Amino acid sequence: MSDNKLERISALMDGELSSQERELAIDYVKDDLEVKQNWQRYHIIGDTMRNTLPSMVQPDLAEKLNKMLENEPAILAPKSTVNSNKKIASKDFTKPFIGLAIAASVTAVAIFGIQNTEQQTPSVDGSAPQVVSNEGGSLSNLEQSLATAIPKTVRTVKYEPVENTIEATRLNSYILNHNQFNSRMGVQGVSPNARLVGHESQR
Amino acid sequence: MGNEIADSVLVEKVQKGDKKAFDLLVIKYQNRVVNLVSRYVRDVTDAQDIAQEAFLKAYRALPNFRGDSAFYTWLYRIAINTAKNHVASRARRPQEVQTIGPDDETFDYDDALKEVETPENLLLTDEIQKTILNAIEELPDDLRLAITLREVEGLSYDEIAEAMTCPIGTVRSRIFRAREAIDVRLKPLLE
Amino acid sequence: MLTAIAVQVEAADKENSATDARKILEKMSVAMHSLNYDGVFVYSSGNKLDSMRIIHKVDEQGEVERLISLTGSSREVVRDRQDVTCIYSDNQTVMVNKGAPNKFLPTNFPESIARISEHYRFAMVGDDRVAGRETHIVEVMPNDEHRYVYRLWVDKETNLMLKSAIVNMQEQILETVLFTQIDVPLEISNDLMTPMNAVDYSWHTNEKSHKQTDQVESKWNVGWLPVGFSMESNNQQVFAEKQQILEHLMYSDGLATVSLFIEAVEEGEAPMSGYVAQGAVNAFTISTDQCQVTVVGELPAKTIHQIAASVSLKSTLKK
Repeated sequence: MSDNKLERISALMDGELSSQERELAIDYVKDDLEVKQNWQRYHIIGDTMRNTLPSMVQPDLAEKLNKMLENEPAILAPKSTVNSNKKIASKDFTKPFIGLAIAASVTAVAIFGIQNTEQQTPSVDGSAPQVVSNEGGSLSNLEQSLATAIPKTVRTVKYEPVENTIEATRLNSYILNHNQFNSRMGVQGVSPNARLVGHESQR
Repeated sequence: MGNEIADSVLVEKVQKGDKKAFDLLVIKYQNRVVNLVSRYVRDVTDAQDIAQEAFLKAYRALPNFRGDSAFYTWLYRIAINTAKNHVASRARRPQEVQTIGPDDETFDYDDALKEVETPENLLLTDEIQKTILNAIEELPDDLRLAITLREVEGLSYDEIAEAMTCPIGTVRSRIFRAREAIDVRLKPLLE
Repeated sequence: MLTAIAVQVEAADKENSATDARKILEKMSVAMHSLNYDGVFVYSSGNKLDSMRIIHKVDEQGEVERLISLTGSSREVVRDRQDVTCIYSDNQTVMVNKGAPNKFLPTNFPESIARISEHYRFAMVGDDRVAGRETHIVEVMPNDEHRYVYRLWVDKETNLMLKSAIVNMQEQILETVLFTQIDVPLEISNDLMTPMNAVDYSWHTNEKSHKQTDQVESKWNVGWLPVGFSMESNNQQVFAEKQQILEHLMYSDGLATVSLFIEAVEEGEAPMSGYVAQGAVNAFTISTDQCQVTVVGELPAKTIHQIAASVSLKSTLKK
């Protein structure tokens, strides 16, 4: 398969193909096992970078599901829309100040999970972490955050990667909230307000 | 954004009866979903089981998916509900399903799934992660920045082009070249 | 006027440098709040880059500041003595924060510089040109590793801050503001201060949306904060729908601020933990003692994390 085609798969992942190209590319991934594996590995790369890769992967999950669904009829065409009242799905905590979450939930931020290489025990007990060691410096840079294993925390707490999750929404809305409070102080000159304006929504 | 368009195209295909299109969605989201449900259960294989169950439920519920929210948001809720049910049934608490959000879908499937076997083909990701991170570190700066802006920051090609002051075509090829370079290292581990 | 005399300044001893730096900061604080200015700056934070215009007007009524994004979708923030109004055109939303608490009035500058000087050292670290103007570079360096370093480029003539950088101990720049152009007019017309038309946007005002009860004794004990942080505000917001209480505590050392948001974890809800960085702002959320603690501030991740981990229910309230 040519690189050119794989490049198209890469762009497909990123949602950057025209509708025509997209159809071709989708067929191409669907029908070619090898390309499907490329699709899988490319996503594993993304998951790793966002720290959303669990401690184990199951490469044949899709295949397996396929078998399980074999005996089921292909699903039906969508039934007519029940009720398209758009509600804003958000939990109370996502709107510490009413409305802020709306802006915050669509905010672009740099999000990093914390690398926790020594352990993989996900925590559900929520015990508070104790910080034992070095600060990793700027977390605003992927390399740094990956390289320096910041803060070398805790056995029990697993930091969730937080793209598109409730946590991300929540943290973003709190950041906005904090910046708004902060902007009243004005000690740091234009920064706090710049942060507010810089809070751009992502389409 | 673009990502969601790609999802909705796939969703539509599944809704029209194309089962294979569902594979692509599964592959795309399986790790995120497993990672998400790992918060509710300690055991990774349990998490895998729950993820599998969640995907089955999603598939069956897909005719009702109206596209009001992004596919992942919807899938996310299904996964959380599945995980909560699992935890609740484990704890032998009365079956009270915690719901998320006001427009929660209600699921009335018989939970008696066909029998969810323990997944056998599991790979530990330590090695995978290390390999990928090393490969990223060794990328030329422009490739690394491009893929980081895409995967971590979620920027569109347009935005990346602006940030890196280069044409969109260059962004597309840089991201691809980055993936390709990492993939060369990754591929042997998954075979 | 041919003479350009290169004056070789002997390595001024630290104390002089500190005193000079402090004087410059004091003048800067006054200038930032008492001059009219209209400028364009580039704001970079993490991997993001935005260009903005700031218009600052002072008259008998007081200060008004308008900040407008020049890149991306149109957004603006207008701040006057009472309110902070944020207008986001992409989702057609306007958010108004009513009633700035008095203690946040920015007029207490000399005072706040005295306070800052307890935990940071000031130094003159050089000269530079910014936006075509000569500047002094002043460094504000923390006495411990729990905070960030601030570097400020101050216009020699107007004393306005033309550039600022927040830097971590590893010398990585986390956030910068850099003016590319600035005017200091004697007067600024009111037209320039009128925000974009947003009448048909959805408006959200925080004033009455939930009850804010100031000065309630907090149920929570914050076990650790870097030296010098003291409470600036404490309010509880009650969500009518659920009778849930969110407590917001804000602390500052005069320069950096940190917010703690604490709320109860609902029965059956999974505790969360997560971390987000936006330039110099770090945010952690963790759960402890049946509550969810979220800490946000312009402090290193480790500091934020330690603060979050130190929160506990006051022992008198424990069952």
